[in-house]
Amino acid sequence: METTRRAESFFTIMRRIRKNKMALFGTYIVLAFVGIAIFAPWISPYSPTAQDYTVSLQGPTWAHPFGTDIYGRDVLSRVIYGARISLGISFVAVLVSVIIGTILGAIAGYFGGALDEIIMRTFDVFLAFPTILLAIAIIAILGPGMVNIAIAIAVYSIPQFARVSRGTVVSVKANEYVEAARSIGEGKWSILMRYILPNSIAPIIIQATLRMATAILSIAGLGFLGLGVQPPTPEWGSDLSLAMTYIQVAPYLGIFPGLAVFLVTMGFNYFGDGLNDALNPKLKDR
Amino acid sequence: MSNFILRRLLLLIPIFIGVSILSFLMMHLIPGDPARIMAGQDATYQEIQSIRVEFGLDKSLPVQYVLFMKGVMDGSLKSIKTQRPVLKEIYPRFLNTLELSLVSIVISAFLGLGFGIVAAVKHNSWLDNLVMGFSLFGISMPVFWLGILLIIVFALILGWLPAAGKGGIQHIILPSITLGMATSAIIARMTRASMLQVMNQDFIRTADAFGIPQRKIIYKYTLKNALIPVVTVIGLQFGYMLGGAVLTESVFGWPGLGRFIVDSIFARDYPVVQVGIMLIALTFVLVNLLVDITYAFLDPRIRRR
Amino acid sequence: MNDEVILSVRNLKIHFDTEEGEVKAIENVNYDLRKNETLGIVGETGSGKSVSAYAVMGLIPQPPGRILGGEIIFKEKDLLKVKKDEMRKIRGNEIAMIFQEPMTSLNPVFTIEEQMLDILRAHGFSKKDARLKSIEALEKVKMPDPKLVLKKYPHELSGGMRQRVMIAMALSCEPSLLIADEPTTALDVTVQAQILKLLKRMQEEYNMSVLLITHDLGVVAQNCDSIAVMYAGNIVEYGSAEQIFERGMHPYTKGLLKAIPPLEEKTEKLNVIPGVVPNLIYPPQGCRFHPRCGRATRGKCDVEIPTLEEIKDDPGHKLACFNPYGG
Repeated sequence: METTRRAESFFTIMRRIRKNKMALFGTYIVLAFVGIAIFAPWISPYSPTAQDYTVSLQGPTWAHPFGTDIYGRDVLSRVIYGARISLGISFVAVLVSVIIGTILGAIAGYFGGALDEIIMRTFDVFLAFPTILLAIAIIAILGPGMVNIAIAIAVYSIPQFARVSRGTVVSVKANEYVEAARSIGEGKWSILMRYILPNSIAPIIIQATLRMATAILSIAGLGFLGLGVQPPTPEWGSDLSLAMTYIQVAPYLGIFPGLAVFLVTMGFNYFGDGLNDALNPKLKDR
Repeated sequence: MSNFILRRLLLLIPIFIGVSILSFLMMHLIPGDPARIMAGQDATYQEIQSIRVEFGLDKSLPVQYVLFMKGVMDGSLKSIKTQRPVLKEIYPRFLNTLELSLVSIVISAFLGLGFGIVAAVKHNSWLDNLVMGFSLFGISMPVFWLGILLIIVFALILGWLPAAGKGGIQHIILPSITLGMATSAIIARMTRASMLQVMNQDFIRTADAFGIPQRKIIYKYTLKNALIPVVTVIGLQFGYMLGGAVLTESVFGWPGLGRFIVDSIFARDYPVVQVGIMLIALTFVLVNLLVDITYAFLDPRIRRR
Repeated sequence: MNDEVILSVRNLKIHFDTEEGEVKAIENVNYDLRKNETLGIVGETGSGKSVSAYAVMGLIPQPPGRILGGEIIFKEKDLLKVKKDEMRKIRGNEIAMIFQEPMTSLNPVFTIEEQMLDILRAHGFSKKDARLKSIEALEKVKMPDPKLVLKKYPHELSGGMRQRVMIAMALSCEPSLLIADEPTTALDVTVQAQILKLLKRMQEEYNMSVLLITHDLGVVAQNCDSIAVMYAGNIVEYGSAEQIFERGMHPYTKGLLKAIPPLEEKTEKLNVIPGVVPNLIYPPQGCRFHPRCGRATRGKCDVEIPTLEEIKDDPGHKLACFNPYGG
């Protein structure tokens, strides 16, 4: 099993990523958007919420390279600020899911028995709902809002991380050095922390990267349905939903927010895929 | 074989119950008084009381759950907005979603298998790289954005196809492509990976060593083995489509169940939301069961157990 | 036995490109196989014995494999120069091969019948003839109730049964050369003996030549007329069974002879010779065996490469060693 192999040197992995052009491309896109999110106030030409009815629904011009929406707001500025919302919420949601999911999965896998059954069967019920539907249901319960969206994403991501970490734990547990540690009397928690969790890191990171992509798609999807971040906060999905209303007169409005969602998602997917190849090189060579 | 199916069916029961309980509990997880939430902000005390009695909200939770399930079955659970039985409201929309998902899955299975096989056979060639690159592209494409782009190009600029609504064949083309894009990419990747894995197996080397023609090795000996995990993915994807269709339905104004659920959330028509979500989740689980059974038919090793 | 040479391998050299470097799997291999003869190729894992057999079958994947030189003459044709399509017609028809793992060598999702018919039909038999032929082949390998076996899936048969099916598949087109790659390694001892006996009988019945590849000199002893001992990509000793068993002179051959397990015991590996097969990316200078050899001399064995030469007073017995036993 790949996952049971001792961690390879960081540099070997980095070298492989650098050799993989797609992964590198993904990394650059992700870094670019992180930069845009952080420096939004300095690089955006206008305030994302400033209305100016004198320039309502203008196509791309020098003053407004991405055009303006029905309220005369600058689309470029809204796309730039949208990166903050999208990356911010997805990062928090995925981080929370990683922590909770990994721990629960590790506990289920390590201790096994009834505890394992209870945890994993409960997650099975959650996994019975298609992800976007589960998110919609949670928003229907909690109402829209950034924190609730993060919760919705976390609820369907936690079981995924739990599955990954449980799987690794079960396979690592059978390994010799864990046996050895057990035989010299190390405690369960200490073994879990010192030997098993470090081995789960690679698959968890890959999963987290790919989950970031799903989270970004969900945020925009909920926004598009009107169940996400509420206007006037700049959010790519809800801006696209607004664009749909005026698609006959201003089709350009439907381009840029969607392009942003697409690029970030692709960045994370390419990066995650490259990371996967770098950590499991044999699979690629076949 | 029948034993296998029976056991899988039995396993369904706890998940069915879990899903229905979760859908039922939805109303009670909402902070505040469910009766007041259902009645809306401007409701009078009498209206709230009548809803409380109508939905049995004054009874204990287990009793309410039984009443809820009974109401779903016998039609006494009604949509707040239209006062018609919830299932009657949901059924035609569910069929619309099913129609869209079926067309989409057929298209994407066809494309995904084709591209996946080509990529595997031409492993490491430019064609393989193209398919792989394009598939990540397809997975990253937000469905609603793809829908918007298709509308701009094919409805607004070229004027070939309608932008929205449901009617003849021309109405289903853009929505089904939109819904199927990511799925065909996933199926292509899965097919490729599975084919490559099988090509490395001893029995393929055996077939080669006995001079079986190359075409037969690929399309018979490899493909049938490789299909087993792919069928699983196709089934799972079909399940996801039923729920994920909501975005496509929104873009194209397709009168499906997903869109109906979202509209009902805005209208605070909670019985519709609960039953709609429950129905999609149950269908999803059922599809997964069918996938398992198909799997057993394809793989004689499982069939015997 | 008659003297007609059916297969002649000359100066074969095969390397593999891997991420770590070039694996020099086969350096210089020469042998002849006569009609009705059984030649055993013996060596540890990594000696190149299987690679040489795969080369005869035209089953070396290229890349990563690179056939750098040599000839494989089968019935006056150089198989290394034969076109792919033509090679496909020879494989399974004139040259057949059976493999080590009967568990994984049969396609799990098709019945035995489906797989046997496909082979025969690939070599020009009609559907009806193919069916008769496959039943006949199963009868020949003493399979009880062939018609029932045809309807079975591989997982419904035991390991020994599966290997019998493999042999029946190999015999169904009546090949003139059969390559058996560790045919009994994965089986338990009693079944091993049965399968070896079966192979011997089939060889006589079908007038086949057999190339038997194994790590177990014990297997060779019962079945082979001639023996080639391979080490790290080279044949180090070659001769008749009698010559190798009675007068084996190479230190490696001696080591293998000492390692023959008693018949009733099944061992996976030979542990008697100290050390391991060298890394073939950076093979040792000089004689490739010298790091493990008790008789190696400094300045000779670690510098010069010994060539395979006939021993003066023992016609047909060839040796590649500077310090042989009894030399």
